[in-house]
Amino acid sequence: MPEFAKMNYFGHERALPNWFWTGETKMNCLSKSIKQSLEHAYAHHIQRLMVTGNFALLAGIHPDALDEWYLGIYIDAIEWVEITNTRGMSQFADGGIVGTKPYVSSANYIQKMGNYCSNCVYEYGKKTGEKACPFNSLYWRFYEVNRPLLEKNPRIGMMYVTLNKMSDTHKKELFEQAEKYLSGIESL
Amino acid sequence: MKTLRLLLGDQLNLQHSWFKQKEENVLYAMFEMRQETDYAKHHIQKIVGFFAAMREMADTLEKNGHKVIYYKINDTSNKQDLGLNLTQLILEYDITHFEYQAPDEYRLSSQLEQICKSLKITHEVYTTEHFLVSQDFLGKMFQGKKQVILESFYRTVRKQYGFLMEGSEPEGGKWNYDHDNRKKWNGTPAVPKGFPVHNEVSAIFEEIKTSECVYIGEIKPSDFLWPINRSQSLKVLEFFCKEALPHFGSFQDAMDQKEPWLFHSRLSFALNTKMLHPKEVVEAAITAYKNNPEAISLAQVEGFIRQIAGWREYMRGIYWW
Repeated sequence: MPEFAKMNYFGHERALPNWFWTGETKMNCLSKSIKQSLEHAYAHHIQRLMVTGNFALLAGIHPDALDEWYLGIYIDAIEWVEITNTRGMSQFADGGIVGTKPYVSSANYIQKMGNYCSNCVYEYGKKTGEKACPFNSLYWRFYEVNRPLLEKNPRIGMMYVTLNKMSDTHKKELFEQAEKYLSGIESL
Repeated sequence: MKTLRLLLGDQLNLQHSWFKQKEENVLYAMFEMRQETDYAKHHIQKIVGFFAAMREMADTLEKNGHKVIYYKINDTSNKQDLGLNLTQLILEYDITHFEYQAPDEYRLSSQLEQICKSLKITHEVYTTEHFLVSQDFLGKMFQGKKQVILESFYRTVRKQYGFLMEGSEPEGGKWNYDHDNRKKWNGTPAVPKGFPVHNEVSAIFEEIKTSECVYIGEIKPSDFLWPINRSQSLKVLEFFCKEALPHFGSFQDAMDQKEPWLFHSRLSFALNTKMLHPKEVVEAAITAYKNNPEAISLAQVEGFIRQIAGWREYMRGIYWW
């Protein structure tokens, strides 16, 4: 599928933050995963999928920019394996050929599967307010923004039940928090 | 008749049937090229790893009695472009027939098709003899279906090769042990120590710096930790099966900020350059499990085989679908 390289199901346009090339971000999971990648030309599949890939999808990074990053940084990255994993599995840019739903998570999964959160500036249990982990508000914003594309997906429906039950005040706080983080993405 | 056979940087399969016989009239060509270092901004270890492994391959072929033309990155005769280098060699050596192995990327596949159109000699395309199933296997399997499904693809490959099978049933009665494979790692069991590969790559690193190609990332040239030939790759495979496989499945999704490797195989570079064959990798893991079922449970080995025989082949099938 040569057209795989052009797919952008969500129409994501945001530039890749500069700290993807340095690891200089206060988010410890991203900082450590990126610095490890720069040191070893390697990260394992969950670091690629649930840390860097997860953040990029939640933040709406253009898949072209992300492809360029994954294709360059990993010693095992050759287009046939990189583009299908990045655009397909990780970014759902193919609209569901490789996977049945986007692989996104809030801070909860990262905390559960690793030890990055223990010494992070951000608090994984906090959704809004000072030091709230960006993954949390970005996660709910992602579902809200992409409601027309995802709400009818049977594997996702439950997320919208939860989202719909939230009070308007809480949702407003969450989405404002997310927008604030996105507008200052370079200094996260 | 004089034949030129091209070997790309990710076609380092010494077991390929091309090498079964030494042929007087066959010349092998390998090129380190700027077109390859520059199509993306690569990590320095990626460029070093590919060039080092290509050089090892060329040396081995020569030792085995094959004729090899090898262009290093700074060689003056190197035109840094695949078409130009091939045309040059065809003229220089009076080549009358050209052969290559089908590339895994569209980029190189279409470039080679274009090159062949412009050549005045005959050509033939071979497979790399690397993957478990053919390039169009997935497409044929799911023809007319709305969605492709990893699980049915994976089961078909397992059945076809008899990997962990008891007749037509999966060993242990279950195809998938993914639910046993989601543990957090809290420091125990200890991660494997004594990784067997340490390469000195300062010379190649200096050459790449001289070439002025752009790269990212860091490197410790006195202690390069990736295998660059088949025997090193086999050592990494052996190390994995012995030291990491007993815990691979359980902790394959775990993350640790101080332990980049945990129980992962570190075989992706050796596999993607084709220094190792996926079948031998899967069989080594199964043998380790059969020989020591007390240390390696079925869930650990199934989790690993799912990655190699399932996911990896599936992704390649989707790419070429």
